[in-house]
Amino acid sequence: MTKTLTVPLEMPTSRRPHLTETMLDALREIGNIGAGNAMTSLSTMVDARIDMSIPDVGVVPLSAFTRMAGREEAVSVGIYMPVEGDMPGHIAILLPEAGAMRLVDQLMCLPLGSTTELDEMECSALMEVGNIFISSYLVAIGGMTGLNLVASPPAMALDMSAAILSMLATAVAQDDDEVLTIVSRIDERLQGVDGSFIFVPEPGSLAILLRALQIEG
Amino acid sequence: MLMVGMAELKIAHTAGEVLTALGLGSCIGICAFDRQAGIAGMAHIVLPSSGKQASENPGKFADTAVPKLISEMQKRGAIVGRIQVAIAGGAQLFVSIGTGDRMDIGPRNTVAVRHALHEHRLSIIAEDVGGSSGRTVYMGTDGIVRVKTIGKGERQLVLLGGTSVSVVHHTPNFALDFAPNSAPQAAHERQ
Repeated sequence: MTKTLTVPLEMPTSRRPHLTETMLDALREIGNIGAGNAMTSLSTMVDARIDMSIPDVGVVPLSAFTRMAGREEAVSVGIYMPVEGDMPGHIAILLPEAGAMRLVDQLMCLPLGSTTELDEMECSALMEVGNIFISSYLVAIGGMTGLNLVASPPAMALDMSAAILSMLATAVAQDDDEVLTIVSRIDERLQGVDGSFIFVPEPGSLAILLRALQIEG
Repeated sequence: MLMVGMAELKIAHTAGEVLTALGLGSCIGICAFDRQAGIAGMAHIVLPSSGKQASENPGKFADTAVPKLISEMQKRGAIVGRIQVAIAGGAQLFVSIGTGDRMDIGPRNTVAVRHALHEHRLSIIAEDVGGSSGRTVYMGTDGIVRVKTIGKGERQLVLLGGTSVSVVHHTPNFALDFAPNSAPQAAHERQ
């Protein structure tokens, strides 16, 4: 898969402080720790080893945000959760439909290929996984930074991936034309369960995070 | 195909060109067309109102995108009295969180777009808004507006600038959409 997260070189209208290499490293580290812990909990649930990519960190213009996942009209499952507490933000898991079905098979200990529809039962299983997954991510980041991150009840959608992703950008678009984004990808080798895990901190959260990590802003 | 991303606003006047907004969720695609001038415009708005601040990005908000869309079309020879408009989007994709402020963004966008168009004396000829499904919207320089939805395929919403004007309103049926626990949201939606 090509790297699809675009980091524009020039941000003429940006009110966001320039992201230095140190800051990018810190954000990558945050994503890594969070995703690592989330993957461990998911691995336990499906009793298989699951890996995640090193996170892509970038400031994505609104106009390009929904292109992030590649096929914008592909049907995907989206699990979305607003994060409150010391470092507000928005998290979503995006699973292409086929991958979501394979994940359901593994959760329910069915032979791969058994699930052919995402009905109420399948969706509630995925929602549960998403909930645990996101919580583990937040717990790990909280542990590393000492910040209190509060999970909210998750919401779910089954639709075009662009429509799902737009939710995250919309949540921070009022004051910003660019979206700070931390993306981890679920390794496709996991029996065809590919997907992305996307964390979008609120505009003010970057400074809070850097302060917690004692990095010069 | 000319892609119109979130918060973007684009104009097309070459035959065969199609303005396209992919996967609108709570966002709205405002499609405007002046047949005589052969000018089509599309704004992909994200939020209802720019608030007090002067917006650097007029395409982002309903209240700033509508006047910008009109002025961009006028610059190329369109006349307000001839412009016809269709809108699509404004869905509530995510279900089960209850009725938090953010989850209402689709319906609030719809209200704001209708209001802004009314203020600028543009009437909506056709709309496909609300519901819980995402949409892709196409606006051709032939005046044809098409909408694509997952599971229902692609269909023509309206031909803008046609000789006979009939107002088309398409209200999606919530029950047909994927929406566990959607009853409270559906009730809210119909307000």
